Amino acid sequence: MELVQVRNLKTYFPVRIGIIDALKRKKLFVRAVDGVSFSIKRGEVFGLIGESGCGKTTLSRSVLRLIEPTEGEVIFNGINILKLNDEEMRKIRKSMQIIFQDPYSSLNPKMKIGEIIAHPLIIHGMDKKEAKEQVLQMLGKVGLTPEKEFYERYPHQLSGGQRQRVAIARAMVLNPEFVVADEAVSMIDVSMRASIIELLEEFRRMYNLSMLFVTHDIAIARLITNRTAVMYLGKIVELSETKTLIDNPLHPYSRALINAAPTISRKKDFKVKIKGEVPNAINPPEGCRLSNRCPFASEICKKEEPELVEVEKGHFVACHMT
Amino acid sequence: MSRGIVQYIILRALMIIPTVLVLYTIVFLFMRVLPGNPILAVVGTKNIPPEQMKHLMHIAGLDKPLYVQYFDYLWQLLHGNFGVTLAFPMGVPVSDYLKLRFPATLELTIWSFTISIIIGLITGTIGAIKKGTIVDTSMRLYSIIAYTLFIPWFGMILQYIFGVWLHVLPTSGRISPNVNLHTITGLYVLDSIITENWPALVSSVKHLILPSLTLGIVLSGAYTRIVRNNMVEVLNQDFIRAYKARGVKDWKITWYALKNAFIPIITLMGLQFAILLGGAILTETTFNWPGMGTFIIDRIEYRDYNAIQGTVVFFAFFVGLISLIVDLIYALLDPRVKY
Repeated sequence: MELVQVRNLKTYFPVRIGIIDALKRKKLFVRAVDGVSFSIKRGEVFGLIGESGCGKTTLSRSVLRLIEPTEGEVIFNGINILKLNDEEMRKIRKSMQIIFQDPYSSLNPKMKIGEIIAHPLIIHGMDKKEAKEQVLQMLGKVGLTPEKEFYERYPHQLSGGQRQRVAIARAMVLNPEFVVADEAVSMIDVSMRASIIELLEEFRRMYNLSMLFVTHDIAIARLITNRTAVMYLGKIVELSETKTLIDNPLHPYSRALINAAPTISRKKDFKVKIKGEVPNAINPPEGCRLSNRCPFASEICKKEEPELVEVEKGHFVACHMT
Repeated sequence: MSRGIVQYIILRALMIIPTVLVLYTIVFLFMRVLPGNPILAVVGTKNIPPEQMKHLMHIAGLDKPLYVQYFDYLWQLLHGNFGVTLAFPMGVPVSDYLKLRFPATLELTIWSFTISIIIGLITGTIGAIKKGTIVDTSMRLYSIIAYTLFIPWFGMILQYIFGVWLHVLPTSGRISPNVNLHTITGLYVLDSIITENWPALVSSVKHLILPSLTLGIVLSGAYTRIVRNNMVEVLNQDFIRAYKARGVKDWKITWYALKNAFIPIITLMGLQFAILLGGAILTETTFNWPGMGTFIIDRIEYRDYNAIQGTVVFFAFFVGLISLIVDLIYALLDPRVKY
């Protein structure tokens, strides 16, 4: 059963241009997300990996309509949320939440922890007393005890890990069906990461939550995600079960990415090195977007853009050479 | 109140003293360096018999050595006495003038301050919300233009448009001479409300509009800029995005952001206050406003040492007090500040 379906989603940002170009009515766009489709089942954690600047964050925010997508569909529980008006959107937001990367900027410094977590409940019409009760419970669930003490504290009195627990509590207190975790652990101390991941996993199990888990850390993707998509320059280049993807990546870019992740005992060396920088997303290369950096690129790669095709059951790859 | 904050207040209050002392010293020396003296300014000619001159100087206490004059006046200040005027009219306690003039300046500054904050908050917030658009650019342009306006010039333009041309607003004074007002606080708007004197209220508000608008607009430029920049920064933080993700209405998000952007704005308010008083002097002269500004200009012409020293010291105390209050407000609004 699919909870979230993303179909051919595109998010373009206009580029600031000079007066002369503006007069010529020339418009340039950064194609941050350029035609992405995938779906997330109920209770599934869907990973999204890729290097910085590949459009992971834009995609995750477009799915929640925090950034207005340019084109495509996001179907949540059978409803295309991109077609909803402001009021309808506000209501549906209750069941889709986000956890941000930076726990230092995601909490309002002028509110107490208790108020921060209670705020979503009050916004959606709960009275203050009941909200407080729920918040205290929630603080216990995320391991911020003694609850009453944490309720009264301010964000600056908490550590990064504790702040992220608050952010998780704030997202979970509305009982959402779908949560986006945008690099939710990458700014946390390594020693605390595992426990935060465990906490997320616990919520997933308890509430049959679906998650879109954005990360650049392959080890973390392996730990928590069921399926994973690899993104490159605004497109998904490979998508499959996480285990299959990590053990047997097919796309040259995925291979290079997984190769670059440090492991204690390397079982496999995919012997792929991708050189150079990510090209800019204003003028992506013709044909396959990796064609200018790929060691296996041939003529067809420079002309035709490869489609995402199923090469084995549940394993999709967008490459001419596989 | 905790012990820390009481200690802080005492410390800050003590720090006003050296500031005032330095200012008094500078003004004392500057006035003595200026050519002329109060007696000459009153008599209006240098051709007076030396005997008489000596006599007058003795009465005014100006024949004593400079350091004696310096410490004499300082001693008076320590007793809360601002001395007496030395030039026409002679022998009037300076504090009498300050009592009369200070409410006028205070009323003008309160109004100008309020106007500048309101304009600054509105234009700055609009600029931040519409960041990168033509609206933002025009707000920034407004900020620069307002900031660089010269008060007397801008005041005269307003006087010309609303006073001379449209004939809707008075161009000088605090209240129409045809209205009687029983003063209590010296703030005319407040007084006319207390005494339920509606014609006086209308007249004093009308008189306030042009001068406070002049000063308010000129000062608003700095606020527009700082409000915009701080709002842009706050609006870009994740907790604002989190509000959106939770379905909070846009105007409410703007309000939360504004509350967070307010702390640097308060710092600016404290800094602007001294500039505000400086601007008030120019505004008062332009609009013939009977406040401390016109008083000090008048006294400088008479070389009235005591009156000038007294007024400057009073200004310095006032600015020190305001910045202390601003710092306390700061602590009240930001949970992170501790003393």
